[in-house]
Amino acid sequence: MEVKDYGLDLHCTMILEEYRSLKPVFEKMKEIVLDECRKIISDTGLFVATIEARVKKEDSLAGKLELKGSKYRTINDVTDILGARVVTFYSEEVDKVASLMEKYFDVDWQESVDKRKLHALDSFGYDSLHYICRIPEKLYSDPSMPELNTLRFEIQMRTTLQHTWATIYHDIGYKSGVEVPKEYIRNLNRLAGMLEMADEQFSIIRSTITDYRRKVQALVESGKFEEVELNGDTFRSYLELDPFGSLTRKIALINQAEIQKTSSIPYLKVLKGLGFNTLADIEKLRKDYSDDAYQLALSQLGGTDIDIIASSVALHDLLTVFILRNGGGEKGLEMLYNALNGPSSYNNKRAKQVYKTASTLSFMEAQE
Amino acid sequence: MEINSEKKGNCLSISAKGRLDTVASREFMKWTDNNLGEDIKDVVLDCSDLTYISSSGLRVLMTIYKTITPRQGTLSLKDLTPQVGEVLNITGMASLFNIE
Repeated sequence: MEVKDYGLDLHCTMILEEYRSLKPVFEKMKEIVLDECRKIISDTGLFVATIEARVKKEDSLAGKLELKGSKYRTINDVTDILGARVVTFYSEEVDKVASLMEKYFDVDWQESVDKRKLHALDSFGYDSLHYICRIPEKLYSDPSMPELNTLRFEIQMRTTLQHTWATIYHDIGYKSGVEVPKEYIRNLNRLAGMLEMADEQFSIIRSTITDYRRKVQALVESGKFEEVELNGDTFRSYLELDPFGSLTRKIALINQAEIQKTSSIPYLKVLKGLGFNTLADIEKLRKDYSDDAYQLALSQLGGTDIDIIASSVALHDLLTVFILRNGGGEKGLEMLYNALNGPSSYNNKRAKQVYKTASTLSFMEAQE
Repeated sequence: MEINSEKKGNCLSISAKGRLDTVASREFMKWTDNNLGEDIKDVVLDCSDLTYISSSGLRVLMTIYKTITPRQGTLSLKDLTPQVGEVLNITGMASLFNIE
């Protein structure tokens, strides 16, 4: 293969030669580092945006050596020949990823920099955390490639917003080779400040929502339903307690029916529409109307050989009884079906049919 | 029971005529296994000539529903006859499907 001449001095040419001979080692290191990063991040349950790695191209290294080759004694001083990057969604996850990297790789602390902390108080920039590492022998070793454990590589850890800023800054301010007017750089730096605030806000919003969910879950679990406002989150937590399970099983016993597990979440909009504001309101529905709902189910299923029901049938029958006992009549039932299935002419027929069956039941005499 | 179908894009329209009893449900389930390909998202079942549905028939509907729901698809039932409509009501299943 033809070796390209970059017109470098002897010292830099020797470093480039080292690079050429060690390229297969760097490629192997890339494979190990990528596999390990993916594994340890996934094992921890962290959800990150990107995990990637690349081995620096020869042209790119030659350019770097031309600019600052005298800085390096050997190839091992060029620490970004292999560069890996982990991009996270939240800023606090950068530190979580960093602690994982510290645990699994040998970090060269003298060379590693937290660029996030380098900026002076009156300047902006939105950089990442960079670790210079080695692959420890306990993680991977191959006697035919001893350099696997001596060569260093760089891991950048940053948020998606940091990554966006750094990529654009690199593209505009550095890679183009043209000197960019200061006012444009100033605008980029102002943007960095804004993105830093956005990252902070994303983290604050996430932790606030997490706190809220924990609090709600604790209230639901402790049965303090009157303090819990009805919404998607709280209704889900409430359903996890299987509040309608007992009534569903009782209905299933009418015909020894199989219970098909189905979601009751679509009933949330109906509950809200009927004025249920807290979980205590649903508890009241369950306590006050369960006997009547069972009576309705018995009148419908008893005498048939239907031996399969949906697990949402209990809540459905409870709401049917609630509407009827509160004077909603056929119109109220039709509105229930419209809300659940979307409007259709069938809903009117269905409402009439259910109303006719329910009219013969004792709870209809006690309409509220 | 007679089954006819037509596929348009990712929608499968089925027309079932007769009684969906235990025997017919077995046949319908087999038919479903062969025709509900991975590309099918929505299923429309024309029930205008479906005069009876048993628990086994409901199980077939639940199988279709549970197959297409993870694909963000819907099962629509068209022109329900009174017996079929009532069975869907009393089992709580009417609320799972689109009923036209």
